[in-house]
Amino acid sequence: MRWIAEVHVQLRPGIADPEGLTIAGGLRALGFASVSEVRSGKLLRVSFEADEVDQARGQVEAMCRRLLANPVMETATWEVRADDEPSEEARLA
Amino acid sequence: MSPPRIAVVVFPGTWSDRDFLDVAQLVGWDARAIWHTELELGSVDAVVLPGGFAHGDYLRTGAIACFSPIMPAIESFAASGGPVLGSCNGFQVLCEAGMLPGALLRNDHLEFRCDWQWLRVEAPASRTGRAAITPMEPPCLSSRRRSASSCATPRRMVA
Repeated sequence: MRWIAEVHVQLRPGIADPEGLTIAGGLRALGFASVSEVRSGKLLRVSFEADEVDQARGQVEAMCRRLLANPVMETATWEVRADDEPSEEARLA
Repeated sequence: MSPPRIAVVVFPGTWSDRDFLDVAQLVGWDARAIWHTELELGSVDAVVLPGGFAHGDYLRTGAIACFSPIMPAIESFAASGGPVLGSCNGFQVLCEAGMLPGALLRNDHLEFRCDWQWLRVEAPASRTGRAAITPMEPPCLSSRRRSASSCATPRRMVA
């Protein structure tokens, strides 16, 4: 069956995040004076096939470890859910 | 004495491969470009990973390039003592591949810096015993960078 993983990749706490700093500066310039910090990151939505939930979770864990996050400077948090929506290919068929 | 043979690795998005090939030609070295899908380096004395934006720098700089088919050959060449030069993006690919410790971070001052940079020569003798650079002549190179800060595991740091 098909699954969707949502993977959030963020810089580790303490690692300088110039993009977040710049966005925070922009928000303050717009008048959001209370903004103290912005941390930037990536949201990756991965659609894939697996037989059951443990296999799906194992695959996502391996994807994060092998490619999606660099453990030297990043962390990945993720959740996985069954994909009930028809795929793009099925909709177009 | 035959000229040194240099492999210049080209990924989709690499841009300074022509610089390295032209300079090699100027000094009489035998350099050839190697596309990233090749599996063998052939018989070479050194490997260069040039700069640019391999695979568009998507996900993380070097993250996709380090899984290129040519990379195992480069890793075994380096493991057997072969000299590998990573310039700019190529350096980042070597970090992502785990051949160098650490990772490169974006400049925290939000500037793109372009400077002349003095280097310290740590190991002047080349593998073939020919000194490419002597400690008496510290090299000064042009440096252009968006990412230069490095971050390594506590045991090992790279600059």
